[in-house]
Amino acid sequence: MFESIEELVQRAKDNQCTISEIMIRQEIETSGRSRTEIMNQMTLNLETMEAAAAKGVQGVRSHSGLTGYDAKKLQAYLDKKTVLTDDTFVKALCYAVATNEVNAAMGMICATPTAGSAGVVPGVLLAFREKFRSTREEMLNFLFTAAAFGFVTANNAMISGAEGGCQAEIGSASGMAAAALVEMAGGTPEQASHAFAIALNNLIGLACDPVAGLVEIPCIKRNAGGTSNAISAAEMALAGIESEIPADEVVETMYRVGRSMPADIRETGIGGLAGTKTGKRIAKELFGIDR
Amino acid sequence: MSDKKFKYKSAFDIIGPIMVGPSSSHTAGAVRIGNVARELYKHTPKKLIVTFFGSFAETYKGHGTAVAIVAGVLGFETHDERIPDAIEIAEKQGVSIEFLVSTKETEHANTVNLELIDEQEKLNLTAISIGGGSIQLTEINHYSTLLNHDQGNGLVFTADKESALPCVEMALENPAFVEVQQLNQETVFFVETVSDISQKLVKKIREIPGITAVMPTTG
Repeated sequence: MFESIEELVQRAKDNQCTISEIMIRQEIETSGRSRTEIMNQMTLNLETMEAAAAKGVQGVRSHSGLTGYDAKKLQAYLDKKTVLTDDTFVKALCYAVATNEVNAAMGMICATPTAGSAGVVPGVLLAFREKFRSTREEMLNFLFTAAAFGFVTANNAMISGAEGGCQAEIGSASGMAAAALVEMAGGTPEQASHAFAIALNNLIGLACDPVAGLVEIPCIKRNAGGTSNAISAAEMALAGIESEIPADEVVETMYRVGRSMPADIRETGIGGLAGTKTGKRIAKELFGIDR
Repeated sequence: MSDKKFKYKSAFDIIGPIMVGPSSSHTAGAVRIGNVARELYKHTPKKLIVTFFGSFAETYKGHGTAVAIVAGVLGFETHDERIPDAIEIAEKQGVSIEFLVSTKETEHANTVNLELIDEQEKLNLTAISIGGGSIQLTEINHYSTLLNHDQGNGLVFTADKESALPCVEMALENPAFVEVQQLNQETVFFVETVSDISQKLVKKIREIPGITAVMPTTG
């Protein structure tokens, strides 16, 4: 199994193939399953992502009642054709928010890499699929490339907010989506690695501070934030910009920073935005928690 | 291969599981911890005591961790849409449930202890949820262990050490780690593997005489 991003990129270069292909081959080798079986399993994940985004765009409300219907607002905004940037960008935000609203409503999603960050990768994928008119195979490859970068991150650092703060969730997801987008746009494995590093650089030290302990505020909007970060990192990498700090050192940095973060901002729902006057009021109203 | 280094072994540990929200560590991971208890206990207990530690203790209400643990003990999978109603369903089946929180310091932020009790049997299990829906089992009936319990890992119970071990080793082509412990009247085999365990293989192992429980896999 590949242990680092450097190794991942090197293997892709040596084999003159894409990063997704390296991930698929490793999966075949370690699981003993056929390419078809693996593709079928990833297809189920993709279908789950598509269903969640579609459901969220229709409008869902969370159990707590705190969040919902923001994806629907983004869709209505898009329909008016007055967006500041462009349709693809706003669609990506819309699908990311939609997915995470479904998650907050205890609906069915695909953890990517986690549930709290499940909107970023599908947000980018589903929006750019429309722009690039991607085939199903290209969409599956996007997910395998994202998986390859997430695999190294999870094994060398962490992907849970409780362990490493939100940098480990939205940060990882953002890096994964950036790298996969570069590959989908025809960039090289090195460019994918720089996009991953740039995206993660931007979110080092991000607190995990869910209000009232719920995966709602600020998590849903952060999925949109992570999505736009992934797109800008991919744009930079495709322009030939490099991350001065190599991707593996960024992952190691995330690990170190995560370990040194106080528990208050690692998903305990105590510090950060959860610790604001409003955050505390919501916690008290919903659960009678008083700090 | 330094297989112990790899906490995550598959692309599907990263993209996946398909699950009911809102949190892969607090909901999907919790379902899987409940599933482990279900597999070992083999039936629905009369009484279930759940103790949450660390981040679990702080946020289990909002994340649906409580319903998820109960759903797992009932045998529901991570994507079962009945998860939000699991406590009601369990109570209808006559399970009395108690949730406790502990301020005791634990190695991992997301730690939970489960006690499953009825007249005949008692099971005490401690596990951690390491993120993205993957979990590790740290203690069974106060025997400590550290198994990755995600894709590509197995835990086997048997009453017949002599005949079962070679079978298990044969069935699991690539064991990374095998540990044998005595637990009550049973010999427990902890078998961790590098490669994926398919449902087909689990079925094959279950058919080996002497095997009384095999951990479910997520493949």
